[in-house]
Amino acid sequence: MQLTVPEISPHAFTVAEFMSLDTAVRTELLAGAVYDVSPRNEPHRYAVSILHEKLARALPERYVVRSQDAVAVPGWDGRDAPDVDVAVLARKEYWPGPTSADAFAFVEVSDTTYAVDRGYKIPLYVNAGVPGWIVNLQRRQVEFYASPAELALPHGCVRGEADAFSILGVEIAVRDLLCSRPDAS
Amino acid sequence: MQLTVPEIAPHAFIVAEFMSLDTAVRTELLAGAVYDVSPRSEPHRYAVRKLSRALTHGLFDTACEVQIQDAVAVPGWYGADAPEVDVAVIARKEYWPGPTSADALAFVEVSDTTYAVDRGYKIPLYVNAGVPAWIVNLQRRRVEFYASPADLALPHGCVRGEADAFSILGVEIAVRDLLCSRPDGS
Repeated sequence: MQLTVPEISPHAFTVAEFMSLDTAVRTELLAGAVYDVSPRNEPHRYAVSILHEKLARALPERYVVRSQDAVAVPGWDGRDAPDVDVAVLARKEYWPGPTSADAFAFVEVSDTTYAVDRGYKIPLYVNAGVPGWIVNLQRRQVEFYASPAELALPHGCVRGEADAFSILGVEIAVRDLLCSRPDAS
Repeated sequence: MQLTVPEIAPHAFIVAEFMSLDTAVRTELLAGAVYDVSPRSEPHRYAVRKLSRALTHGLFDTACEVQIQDAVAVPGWYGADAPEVDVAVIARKEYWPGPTSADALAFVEVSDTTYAVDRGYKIPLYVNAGVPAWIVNLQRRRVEFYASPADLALPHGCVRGEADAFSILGVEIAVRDLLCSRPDGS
């Protein structure tokens, strides 16, 4: 028998509460609710690893690159601790962890998660003052969002497969982030 | 600006995950989701105190004890439910990490504003887990009893009114003794 809870609102988690949680799967906090982090496929892992490597090699010593870890946005009393695919942060010790005030750039690699990345995470980052990029694997393009003007465009400021873009002065070719499709499409 | 997460299903908690959570407010786990425990009114606290006293006294020489307003895993630690039960009669022993419905002999919910969730969700959960359950219905000033699918099929279970008494594990309790006289004399 499947029971349903009559209409009451679930608990709205703070980031500090969320961080106390020990779950069997990776989770993130969005708008006070806990969500499972989607499983990644190989094109996603590929783009994250290339981005991480290029940024870590080229950025000055005062920055540090973190992949696929939680960042509190805007802070520990907030309702959001997204799992950011690639985050460029100030190089220092964090306790209990970094917030968006410590961040210079956030990148999301989107395959199946574009609706949440574009619809929720990117506006969250931009509103917190952090420029956000989406590596859109399905459209094979990179999208850039830094202000309300870009949020008003359906896919932000777009760079195609033949273009390059720059994160904190590090030039990256869009093509370098994209696996050649196994089906050659 | 109020952002909304596009339609994806939240994480479904199991009880073991829920127990790791340290929240600023009291919470319970129902159907894999975390809910705040509603603030209590004085008539609610009064009924819980009277029940606690009657059961603790009446079951003093038995192998049971009374747990007040604490979580019980139903049916167990890998399930999706850890309701906060107002009054639970459980076996007298040490628990680690805590009691489950398999250790429970009776559950009582005192309902004022929470009747819809108590009657609609918690009571069927308890009965399906094999634990007989009572609701002290403060708004209708009566006690409802549910032990089987037949009782669940009745809108308010097996009802005892303000002039009646009922029995939990052989302990007789007058319904009237659980109800505050209304300050407005109603």
